[in-house]
Amino acid sequence: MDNTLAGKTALVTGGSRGIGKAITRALFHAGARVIICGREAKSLIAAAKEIGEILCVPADVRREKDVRKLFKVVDRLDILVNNAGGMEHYGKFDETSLDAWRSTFEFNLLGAVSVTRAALPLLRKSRGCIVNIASDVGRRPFDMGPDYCAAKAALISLSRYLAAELAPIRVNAVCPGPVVTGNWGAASIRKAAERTLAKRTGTPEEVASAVLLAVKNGYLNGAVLGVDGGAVRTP
Amino acid sequence: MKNPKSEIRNPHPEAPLSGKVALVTGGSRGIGAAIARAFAAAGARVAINYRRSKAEAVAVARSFGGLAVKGDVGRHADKLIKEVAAKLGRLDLLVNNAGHSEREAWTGDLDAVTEDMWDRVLDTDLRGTFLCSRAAARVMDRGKIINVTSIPALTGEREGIVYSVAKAGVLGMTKSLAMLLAPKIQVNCMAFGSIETGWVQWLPAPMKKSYESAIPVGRFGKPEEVGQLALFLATNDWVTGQTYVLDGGEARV
Repeated sequence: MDNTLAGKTALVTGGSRGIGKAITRALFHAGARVIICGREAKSLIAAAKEIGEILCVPADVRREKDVRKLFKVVDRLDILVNNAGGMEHYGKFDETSLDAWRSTFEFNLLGAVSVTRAALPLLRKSRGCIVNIASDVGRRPFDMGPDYCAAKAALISLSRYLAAELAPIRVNAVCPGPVVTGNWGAASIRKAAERTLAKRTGTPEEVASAVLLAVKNGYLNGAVLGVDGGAVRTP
Repeated sequence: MKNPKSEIRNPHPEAPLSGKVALVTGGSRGIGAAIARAFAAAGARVAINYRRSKAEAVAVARSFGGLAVKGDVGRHADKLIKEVAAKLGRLDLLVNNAGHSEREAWTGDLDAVTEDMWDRVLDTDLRGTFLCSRAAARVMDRGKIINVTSIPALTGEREGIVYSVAKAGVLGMTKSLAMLLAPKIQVNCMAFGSIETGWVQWLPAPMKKSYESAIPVGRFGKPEEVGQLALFLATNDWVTGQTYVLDGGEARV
């Protein structure tokens, strides 16, 4: 257990489950004070019980009102991890309605934009850093719906853009490949593993270790860190 | 505040490379020495390779109780790898850091690029990386190969055509090797921007200032930051075929 983030405050959106929970745990064990937000109070409390003394705030990053309430609790901030997001539906391009597109972009891009805007005064004060959790399908599209791939690509682009404009705040993207966190069927796990060179799906901890690297390494900025078993090898 | 599970997962949090053997080519100074030190501090037994700088290499190796091994990576890669594996018993990590550094090859004048220059740079940076990787893959059971490249490989470089070609070759090689050597060996590459120990030493002070102002974080990278990135790639089993850019946000590619 190291203590390199002692005295730092971190916010992890969607920090109670899956990859977000592993990130929360990694930051906590590196000594940071961690605040998590999520849509379900129950799973926030369960995460706190499992990990330790972390601050839980029920908030949906898609709702401006929730984000405002969240930042009444967050009083200082050194590390922002925009992790909330996910695939809500799946369809081919001609099966994806405009409303579905809007919903996917709200969840996977605009949530991060909204939280980042609210966090900016605190991050400027602390000269902090931002880690956006994108996806390997944002680097190279894969059969996961056009809206999801495009929204994650947009989040990657936003990270690179902000790396220059928000300096000295550092902004990086971590792009996980297939990590089994919910109730995946055996067939979809096999299919996901097959698209990696490692021939296996990843663990939330393997992704969290890259987030920790992005937080701790002061020269990583505008970087896109693929953690995906070699599924995608393009920039 | 304790989580017993995570303590079981990592029995040696302070020495994540304990029991591992590493070879860092071109490890007698600069970036190579920084990586070697980081690996040694993480518990690895480390060999550094040098071609000409014997005194420097021996001093660096001695500073962390490592081994200095002579050899030109473009010509004697097999012998070099065998020697390290024989003397240290195994090989788990290879860092292909050796690069031919020749100030005259940094030129915007195409006519100043000689064929000999071309051969010298490509022999070390490209051929050396290939030969060492292949030789290492023969003796590694499971392991990691970490290559070194730089921003010109991704963006092109008006005043460094030979280097940009050699380093772009390393990018392609990294991905192909990652495919060929999966799933037992992970192969990745670090793409550096301006690191304090590298070519930036040649810059006159005013030019250095103007370079720094073009970097979003406002400074050159530190050797320790290089070591930290290398250590991550040496320990994460699910990262392969990747290029991690470490440049303070300069290129954003």
